[in-house]
Amino acid sequence: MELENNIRRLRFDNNEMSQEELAAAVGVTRQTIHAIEKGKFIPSTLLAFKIAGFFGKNVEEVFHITDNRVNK
Amino acid sequence: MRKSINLPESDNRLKTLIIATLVLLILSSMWIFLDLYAYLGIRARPVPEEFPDYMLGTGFIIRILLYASFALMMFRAYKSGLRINLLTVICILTGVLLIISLVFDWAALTDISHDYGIAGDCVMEWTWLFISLAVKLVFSIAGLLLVISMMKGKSFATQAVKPVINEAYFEITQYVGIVCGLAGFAFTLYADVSLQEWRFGSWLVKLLLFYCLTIILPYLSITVMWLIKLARRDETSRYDEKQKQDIALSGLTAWLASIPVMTVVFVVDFAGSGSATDLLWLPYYLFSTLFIFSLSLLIRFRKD
Repeated sequence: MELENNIRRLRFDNNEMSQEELAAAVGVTRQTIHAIEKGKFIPSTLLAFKIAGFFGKNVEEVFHITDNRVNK
Repeated sequence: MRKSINLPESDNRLKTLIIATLVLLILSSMWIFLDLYAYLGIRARPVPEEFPDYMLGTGFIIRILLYASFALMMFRAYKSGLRINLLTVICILTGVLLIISLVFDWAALTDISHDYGIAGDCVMEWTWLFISLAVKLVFSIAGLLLVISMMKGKSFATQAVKPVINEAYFEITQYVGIVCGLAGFAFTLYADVSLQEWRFGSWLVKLLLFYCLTIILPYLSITVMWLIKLARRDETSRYDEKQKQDIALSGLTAWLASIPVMTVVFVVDFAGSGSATDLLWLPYYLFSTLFIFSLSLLIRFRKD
């Protein structure tokens, strides 16, 4: 199972916002946003809520779990 | 017409530091060639009568001023959103190495001046001095390019919002740690291999400890700066959650990797050991780090 997200698309929908701007808004480093977008880092619940809240979405609209075993 | 420097937030102090660093970089670059001329002159024997030996000392003063100015410029630039790229990394790596080499260059020149009268070859000292010159050249070129890039405002992030946690300082600290760690390890290995006959407690062994302190000094300085910033509340938080996770995993990796490395050192030293303490340092290290690691992990796990 993997945690996927729509952060990249949401950033672009939000005036092509940069990773730095999102990082500053939610209080983390740009590298952390980059790692979350790439699926290499799973954020804490608090950070997930912060990111979703920043875009005015529910957490489920930003993050979703995919089960790779289903596709195999 | 006066041309203004395009820097973020019109930071006047940063502009002054950049100009001071540029002037010192140009002066220091000239000194690389003066030093080369001086080294070749001394090495050739006999030293030419007109040889200006005070030039070597002046070069040291210029280098100290340059590194101080460069370090202040980097800290100021970091506050203005300095972006870490290849040029910045080269400058940090070579800069830290050169700060450390100040003491080693001085020691090498002192050794050469001491051995000159008794016709010593000083191969190691000369090798070190020429390697140091090469590093100085790389630093000068990279430094000049970085300063020009800063003057054009290209080395700074274009973000409008100030970051809550600036990752540049975090990255710079790790680069400094890599240089200090590697240089310290190489120096200790060299000292261990080449100075076997020197007794524990002799002046040379004490001097080696002083050199080790010199090598760790850049990393200590940057850590102290970080603590001062935390105390002054310049930073609202120390690390973000990914950095904390990375630090935890790196701490575990460092501990696990250090055990086989220390075991190799132990095995190499085993044959030449003189007392029980010479051998017991490995169990001391192993059990104390195991105790601290397990205790720290358990407290954190059981907390709350």
